[in-house]
Amino acid sequence: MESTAFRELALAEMDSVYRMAMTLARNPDDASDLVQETFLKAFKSEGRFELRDHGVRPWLFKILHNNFYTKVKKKNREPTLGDEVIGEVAGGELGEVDAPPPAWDLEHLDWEQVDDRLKNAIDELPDHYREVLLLWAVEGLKYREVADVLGVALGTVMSRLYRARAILSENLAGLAEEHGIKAG
Amino acid sequence: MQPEETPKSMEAMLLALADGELDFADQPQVLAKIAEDPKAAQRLAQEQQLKKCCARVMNGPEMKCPNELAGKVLAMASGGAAAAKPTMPSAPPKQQAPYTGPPVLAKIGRWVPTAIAAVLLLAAGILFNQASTGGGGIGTSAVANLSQQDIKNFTGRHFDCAERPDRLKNPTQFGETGEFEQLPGKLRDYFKTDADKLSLNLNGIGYEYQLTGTCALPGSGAVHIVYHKQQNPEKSISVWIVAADKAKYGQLEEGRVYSEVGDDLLKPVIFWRDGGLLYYLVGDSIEDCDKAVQQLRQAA
Repeated sequence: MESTAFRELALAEMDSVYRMAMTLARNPDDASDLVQETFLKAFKSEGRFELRDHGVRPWLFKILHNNFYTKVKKKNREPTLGDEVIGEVAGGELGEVDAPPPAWDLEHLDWEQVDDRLKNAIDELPDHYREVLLLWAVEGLKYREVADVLGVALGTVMSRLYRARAILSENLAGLAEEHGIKAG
Repeated sequence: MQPEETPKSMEAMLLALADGELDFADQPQVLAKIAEDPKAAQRLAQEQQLKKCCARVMNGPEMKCPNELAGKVLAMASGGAAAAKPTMPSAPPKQQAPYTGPPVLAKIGRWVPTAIAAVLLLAAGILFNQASTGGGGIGTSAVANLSQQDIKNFTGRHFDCAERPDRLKNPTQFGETGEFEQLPGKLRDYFKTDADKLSLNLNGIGYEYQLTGTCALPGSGAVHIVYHKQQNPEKSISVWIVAADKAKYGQLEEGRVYSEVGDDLLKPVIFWRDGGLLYYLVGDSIEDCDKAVQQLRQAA
């Protein structure tokens, strides 16, 4: 792909890249650094880019993801519970250990309350859950594409997504209960 | 979804259906379940609702790329496009951003107008061979004697000691943690130089002094000073000072600022010579580094 075309495609994804940077870094300063590093690396290695169905976006996400976790690893300097281990601890295949999350009915709740509760719940999720949630819910990536971006197995993506949704559902069920709305 | 990876529970298949990821072959089974079980239908609707809510909540106005940052990224891109042309350094940016502040490359370029910009552009994979510092091409290394390993050492030491100032050696020689007042005098004694040239206070740019220790980098007799950002202690600046050995550093032009970049493109090592001392600076925010260099040089 021509450099100019690549850069135009990449620049069109600036909001998406920033969104992911904010989701991971959780503050504008660090997000700004991550975005700049991501684009610098992308421009540097644009020759290696191959256009796919979703365009340049997953590729930029992958650079950002790797950059962020490299920094986190450097910072921690200690072995952390790796993704795979988390997957194992969480029980392996999706649906084998967890009961379905509680039911709730959003139609009877105030949207602002739902958003506030949901936002807080999302903020409290571990990074690797929020990241999957963002790529799936906001960026519209398929499970397989999310797995490619994160460099993990498809089952890990599904497992993380399942657990993230279960946690959020628990929160919304709690909100519904506080308002006297019975679970279905 | 691959068959061997397909979770076989109905719950998992419901989620996959809600996400549009369920294999065609599994769909009749799930649709039949939905038809006969109102709770399954409710689960499906709930998951779809949740996805919409997540999309809304995770895409608020605070998640939109700020204009200032967009301007910087555009400057990177347009600088590169421009650099591909032979007469490039003065070429206008390809795209105009709503950004009114100085872009990163422009700010860096102010330190050593073309050489550093060239280094960064090169680092960004752009062929730009028009450096103006004495015909030596891009390599400020040749001027400054900084190898890639030196750069790694600086950024590595910055990372170690900024995060854990207690790793600095002989800190008590330069005063107590966070007590800046004693530092200039102590350094004056240490380097046997004029105290006026050692005004190292970075409070003006929002950085608080942490600690100073001796350091073998970049050479024996150097000191390493660590600052943390007041609003965000995870951001730090490291300054090393060493007596300038004329035989080794004489080729550094007095008052001129140099820079080298390694693997981490946004953590250049910035260095300059003032009086009989050499200063090296590394930080976590390129903009703050720029401000710090100005502050320190102004003070000197």
